[in-house]
Amino acid sequence: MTPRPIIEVRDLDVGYPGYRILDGIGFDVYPGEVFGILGGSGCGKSTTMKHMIGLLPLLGGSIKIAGTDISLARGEERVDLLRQIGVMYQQGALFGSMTLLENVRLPLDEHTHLTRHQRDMVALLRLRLVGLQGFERFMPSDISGGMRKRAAIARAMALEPRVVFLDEPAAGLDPITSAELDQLILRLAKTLGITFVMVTHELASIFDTNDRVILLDKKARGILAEGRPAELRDSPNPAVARFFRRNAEASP
Amino acid sequence: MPAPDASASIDLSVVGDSASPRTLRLRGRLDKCTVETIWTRACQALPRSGDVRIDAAELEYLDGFGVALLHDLTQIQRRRGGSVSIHGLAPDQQAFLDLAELDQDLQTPSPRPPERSFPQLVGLRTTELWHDARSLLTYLGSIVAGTATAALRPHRTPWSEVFERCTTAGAFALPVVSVIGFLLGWVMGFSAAFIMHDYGADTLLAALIGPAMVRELGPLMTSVVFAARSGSAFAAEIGTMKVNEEVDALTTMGLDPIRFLVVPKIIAGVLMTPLLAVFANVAGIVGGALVSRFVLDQPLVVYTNLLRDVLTPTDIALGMVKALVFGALVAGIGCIRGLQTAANPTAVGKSTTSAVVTGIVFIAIADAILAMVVQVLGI
Ligand SMILES: Nc1ncnc2c1ncn2[C@@H]1O[C@H](COP(=O)(O)OP(=O)(O)OP(=O)(O)O)[C@@H](O)[C@H]1O
Ligand SMILES: [Mg+2]
Repeated sequence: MTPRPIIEVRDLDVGYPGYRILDGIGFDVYPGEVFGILGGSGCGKSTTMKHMIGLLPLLGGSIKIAGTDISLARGEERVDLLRQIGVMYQQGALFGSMTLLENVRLPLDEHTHLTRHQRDMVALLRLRLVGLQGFERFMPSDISGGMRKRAAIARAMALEPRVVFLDEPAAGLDPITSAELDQLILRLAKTLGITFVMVTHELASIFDTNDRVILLDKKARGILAEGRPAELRDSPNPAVARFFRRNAEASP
Repeated sequence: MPAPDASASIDLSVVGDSASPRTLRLRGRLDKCTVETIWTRACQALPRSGDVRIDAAELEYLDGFGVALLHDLTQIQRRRGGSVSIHGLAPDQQAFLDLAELDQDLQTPSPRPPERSFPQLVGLRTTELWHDARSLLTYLGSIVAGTATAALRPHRTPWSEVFERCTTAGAFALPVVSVIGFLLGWVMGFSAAFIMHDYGADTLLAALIGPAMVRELGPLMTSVVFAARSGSAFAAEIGTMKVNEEVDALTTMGLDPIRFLVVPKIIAGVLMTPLLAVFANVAGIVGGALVSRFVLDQPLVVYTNLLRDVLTPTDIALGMVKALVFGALVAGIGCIRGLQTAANPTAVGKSTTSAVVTGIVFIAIADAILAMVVQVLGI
C-alpha cells in the first residue's frame, strides 16, 4: 500500500498574472522522500515552488499540503499550514542584523510559548544538527556561503515542519561542500522523516539525494518526465535523456 | 513516522520514588505540541544528585523539541555530577538522538558582552572617535585627490552620472528649497516687522532680510536640506553597494570606487548647492518683500532700492562660496559614510543617519571657520 501523499498538485497552471508558463501540471510528493524539481533555466521551477509555498497566487488548479488546500486556507488555518512548511531561499535569506542563534530562534519566539532557555535549547539543537555548533554567536556576514545555507536549513526546520523546500541548495557551492550539504539533507530526511522538495540543476546532487524527480519543460509547457533519476537517465525519450546527458557533460 | 496530532499527549511519571537510580517514564508523544506542558515538570522531577534512568519504551513519537528537552535534562544532571541514560527508544528515535550527541552540552552563549567600567568606556569611545576622525581624514584626502584628477582629466569622469546626480540632487530639490527659503524670509520679516514699526524703521526691512539670507541663512539652509535629501541618499546607496560587495567588485575590476562613485556626487554637490542657494535667497527675499509691502505697508520700490544698496557683490560671492563648500562637505561625508559601511544591512541604516548628522556638524564647523576668516580679512 502506498502512503497518502503529503503534497498533491492537480491541474496547476504555473505563471504570473498575465503570463502563463506551464499548463495543468500535476504530481504527488510522499512523506519522507526527497523530491526534485528539474528543468532548464527559465522553465518555471522557482515559480512552481513559489506557488507551492503560497507566495504566488495560483493561476488555476489546486495544491494540497497535508490535506489542506493552500489557496483556500485563510487566517488561523493558513498560519497552521505555513508552520508545516519550511523554506530555504536561494541566498539563504538570513537576517543580517541577527546572530545565527537569533535567526533560528525567531520562529520559535513567535510561534511557541517556551521559555527563553527552552527556545535556546531547541535552536542550539537545530544548529548542531546542521553542523554549525560553535557558530551560534556569528553574524551571517561572518560565515561562508555553505554555512549560510546550512544555517538557513536550520532555520527552515526550527518549527519541526513536515516539508522543507529548498531553492537551488547547490548553487554557488563547491562540489565537496555541495556533497556535504546533500549528505545533510539525506540524513535529515531519513532520520527525522522530513520531506524535502528541492529545485536543482546539480546532476550529482540529483542522483545522490533525490528519490523521485519531475522534469519540467518550457516547450512542452508541462512535465516532460517523472520518476526515479536513474530511470529518467535511461529514458527512451531523447529530450529527457539529453537533459541528463548534457548536464553530465557540463559538470566536471 | 506518524503525523503530529494536536490532541496527542505526553505523560511523565516517576517510578518507584526511593529507588536508585531514579526512573522517569515517558509515555505518549514528545513533540512541539506537548513539550511545553512537561518541560518544567521534567526538570523538577530530576533528583538533586545521582543518576537518572529515562524509560522511553512507550514513547510513540519524538521530534526536535523533545530531543532539546532530553538535552536539557542531561545537561542539568551532568552539572549535578550525575548522568541521564535513556532506554527503550525505537531505532529511528535512537538514530535521531545519536545525531544530537547528547553527551556534549549545547552551549547557551552568554547573553550579553561583559560589563565595562566607566573609565574603560571613556577610553573606548575616545579611541573610537580618534579612529573615526582618522578614517574620515584619509577618505577626505583620497576624495580631494580623486576630484583633482577628475578636474585634470575630465574625459575620464562619468559625466552622464554627474548629470543624473545634478537632476536628482539639484533640480528635484528645487521645490523644497524654494518653499523653505520663502518661509524663512517671510517669518524673519514678520517677526521683525512690529518692532521695526515701533522704532520707525518701516522702510528698512530689506537691510535685515537681504544680507541675512544671502550671506548666512540661504546657503546654510540649502546645505542642511541637501544633507537630509542627498547626503543620506549617497550614504545609503554606496552602503548598500558595499554590503553587496559591489564596491569590492569595482576595485577588483581596476575601477577606482572614488572616481566611479564619489567624484560624480561631489561634482553634483559643488555645482548644485550654490544654484539651489540662489533660489533659496530669491525666495527668502520675496518673502521679506511681501511682509514689507503688506504688513509694513511700504511701496515695493522702497524695499528693492534699499536691497540694491545694502547687498554688495561680495555678499553674494561669499554666500555662493559658503554654499559650495557646504555642498562639497555634505556630498563628501555622505559618500565616506557609505564607504565606511560594515558588511551588514543594519550598518546601512547607521551610516545613513551618521551621514546626515556628521554633515550638519561639519556645516556648522565650516560656517564658524568661514565667519572667522571673513572677520580677519575684513570682508
Ligand atoms: N516576478 C516575475 N514576473 C513575471 N515573470 C517572471 C517573474 N519572475 C520570473 N518570471 C518569468 O518566469 C519564467 C520562469 O522563471 P523561473 O524563475 O520560475 O525559472 P527557473 O526555472 O527557476 O529558472 P532558473 O533555473 O534560471 O532559476 C521566466 O521566463 C521569467 O522571465
Ligand atoms: Mg530559479
